Amino acid sequence: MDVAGAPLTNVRVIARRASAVSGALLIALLLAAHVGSPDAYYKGKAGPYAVRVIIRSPQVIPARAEIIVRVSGTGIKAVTATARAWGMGDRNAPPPDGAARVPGDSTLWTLQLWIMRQGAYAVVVHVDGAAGEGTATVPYTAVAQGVLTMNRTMAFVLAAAGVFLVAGMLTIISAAAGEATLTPGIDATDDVRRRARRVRWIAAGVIVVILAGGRIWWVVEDHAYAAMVFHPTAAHVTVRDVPPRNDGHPARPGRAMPPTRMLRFALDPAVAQQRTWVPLIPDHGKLLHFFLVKKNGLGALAHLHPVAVDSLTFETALPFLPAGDYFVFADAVHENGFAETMVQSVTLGNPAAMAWKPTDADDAVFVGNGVRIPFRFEDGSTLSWDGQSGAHVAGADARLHFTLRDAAGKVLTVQPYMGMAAHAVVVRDDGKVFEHLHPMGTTPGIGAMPMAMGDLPGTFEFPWAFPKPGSYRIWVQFRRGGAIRSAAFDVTVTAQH
Amino acid sequence: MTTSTAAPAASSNRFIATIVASAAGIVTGLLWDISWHMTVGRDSFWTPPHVLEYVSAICAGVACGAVVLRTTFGKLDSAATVHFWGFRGPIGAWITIWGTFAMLVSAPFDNWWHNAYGLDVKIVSPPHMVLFWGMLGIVVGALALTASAQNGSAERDTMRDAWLYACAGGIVAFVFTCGTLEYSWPNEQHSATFYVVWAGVFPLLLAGYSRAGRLAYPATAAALISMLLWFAMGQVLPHVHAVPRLAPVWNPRTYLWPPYFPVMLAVPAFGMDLVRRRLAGANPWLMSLALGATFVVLLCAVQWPMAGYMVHGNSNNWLFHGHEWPYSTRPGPWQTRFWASERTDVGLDRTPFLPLVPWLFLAAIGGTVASRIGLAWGEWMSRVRR
Repeated sequence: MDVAGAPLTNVRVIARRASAVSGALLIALLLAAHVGSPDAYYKGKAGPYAVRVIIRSPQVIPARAEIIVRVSGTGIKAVTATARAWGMGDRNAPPPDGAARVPGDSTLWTLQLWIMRQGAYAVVVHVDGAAGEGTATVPYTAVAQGVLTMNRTMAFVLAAAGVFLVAGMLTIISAAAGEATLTPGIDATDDVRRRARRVRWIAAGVIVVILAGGRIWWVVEDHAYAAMVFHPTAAHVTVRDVPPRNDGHPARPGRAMPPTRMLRFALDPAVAQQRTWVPLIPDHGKLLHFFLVKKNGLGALAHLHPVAVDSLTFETALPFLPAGDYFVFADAVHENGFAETMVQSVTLGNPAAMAWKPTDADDAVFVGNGVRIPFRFEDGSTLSWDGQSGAHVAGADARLHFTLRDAAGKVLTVQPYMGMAAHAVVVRDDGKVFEHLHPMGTTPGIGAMPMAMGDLPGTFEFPWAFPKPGSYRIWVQFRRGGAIRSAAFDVTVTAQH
Repeated sequence: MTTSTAAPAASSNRFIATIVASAAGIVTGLLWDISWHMTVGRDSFWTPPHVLEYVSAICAGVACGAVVLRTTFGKLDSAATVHFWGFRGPIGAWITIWGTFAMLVSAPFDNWWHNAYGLDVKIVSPPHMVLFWGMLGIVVGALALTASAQNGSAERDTMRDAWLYACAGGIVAFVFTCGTLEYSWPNEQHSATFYVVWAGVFPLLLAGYSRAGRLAYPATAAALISMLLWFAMGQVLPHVHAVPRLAPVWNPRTYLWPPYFPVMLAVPAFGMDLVRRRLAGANPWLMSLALGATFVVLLCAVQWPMAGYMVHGNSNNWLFHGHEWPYSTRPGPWQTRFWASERTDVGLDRTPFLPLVPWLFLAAIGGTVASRIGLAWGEWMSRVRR
């Protein structure tokens, strides 16, 4: 059984149930560690058991994150999980929470974990079964993504209840000042009624003041929460042409070296100088994973790894890219494990002749459109998206399974590309969804998986689900024969029904 | 006039006892809930203390609703009732129904709040304030019902009604003891904050009880009942096994946090009862001044040394529950210090009394104003008949 595909119905049900809890509308969904795709996906081992973990991120923090664990193998007795915030040791962790088996699916378990503050977590999944015990650690970044607005029904119900409570209180106060102190059986006199009216007006004034104070309090709380919603680190992107370095030798006539186009990515010093700023650390050996994606058709992708000029500034040589506007997505991991994707835009002009000497050996570029059939490389080999056929639905497993074959149909091997068999980049055509995937999922490489060595089979699988409907392009990148190859696929994703 | 002498009275003894018991259930649930948050940390709508609070509230609301319907439709005597939008019922029943409705409204409001702003574990938030006002409505409704019964005809058991009134008064005081918990920790009882906050709240209640109660020392009785309930919960809660479920756990616990030994509210209450008896008929502002000053002086006289024992003495035992801390507190020397000492430069191991004196004067002024309001409120409670 395909451990990813089979549980999808159940997973969808769980997700729907979670999203239907409030019935409220989420606005101002901001960019988080993975743009527009806040859930975390993980595939790995917990001791002798293969596990797949989905962490459904809450929209607000503090809140409960839903943890869905699929465990392969029989005789599983218990699955537990705990969320350990960065900097917290075992001694400060509460006891793990037990997962419940999802009815009708003996390999699917679910539970909720309380995430009390924003930041980096290690979600530790423990499996106990007939083959012994095992633990998987899933890096997870929790951020507050937005504030809910109240839907009309709820607003109407609460407003009506509020009016009822205020009117009721005024009536009660009026009665307390009038009728209540009369001897039973005696009717109220005009004096008593006048006193009751007077007290009611005074009470109304006091209630108005209290309600106004409550309203101010609410607004202050709302602003305080909005200020704490996650915003990626601001950055500034510039591009300049750098003439060839004069190495002391005169340029040969007619063989002048073309300039190099350099991109500079500078983090906002105002943000980085804050006390809360935590420096970056390498993820898969790189301080930044930098993606330029051409707007209006997604016709080009550059996957680059700028080098640090100083602690806040990074530079990389740009390959040839068609002129136009580009999305800039920069994945970074901080020393505290907090992963974020910084988002910017840049416009590239039509260059004259230019040279590209990659700044980093793992830099890659792809210019072209995606296909809906197996992608054919120049040497005749093909990369097929095995899960391409059939409908693709938001929230369901994306079935990102790929196989590299030669012209005769034999499965080929690949060399590790930044420690992994392959990387995938998924972007929706409007840039509102961006995901950088690895075979172990969405998690950054820090502590998630040992770097691979030697040849690896040319079958790639990326656990993930399209978060929203729309038109997507998926780039799969791997290394073969010493060169980095990229293939692009297109898919249309429909909404859940 | 719509008296129906054949029908039984709207406010029967059983009905009033039901409402007082429901009010007791609500406030018990309130302190249990606080203990839950200090021990377990996280909760849901269906935790035992929440269930106790809401079941008690619904019980009170339904009982009052039944009385209102039976009174309105002639099954009960409607003489001792007030009008409310075409219905009739005792004023205490209406206040209780209002409180129940407010508590019920707070539930979806709180749920939405948590969805919008997160599952905070803050005590003070707008929906929690609606909940608090609802709870207060129910306990004040119980107080009004008992006051009305106490002030009623001589055919009733005056002593029993007077004690029921004291019970309801104690329950209301208990709510405010929970509400001021943050400022009342033993380590805070050498601070000005404790005296200013308590003098601004409790003289209002105690002066009111003293004015309206039919017992010889009504404020003392109410204060004793509040203390007794607090103490009883301190004896019961530590027998319940519970462990923290929220990170970070700095202070591992294995049982529910028990409230520390109650603040000796009965001592200033007794002094206020004596002053009120001595100055009966005096100018209300003069009496308020005496009541406020008495409260502050006696509270300080008893709590200053008491807090010394709680913080520095061997109070970590079953009786006093000194040094019981929430799971989320980092252990440190600050736990065995008076926090006022950390805010001054006189040294960490002592808190001089002299700097507190101006604050005690301020507290006495607050106590005077609170007592004056309390006397007015007590005047109303002594006259409520329906």
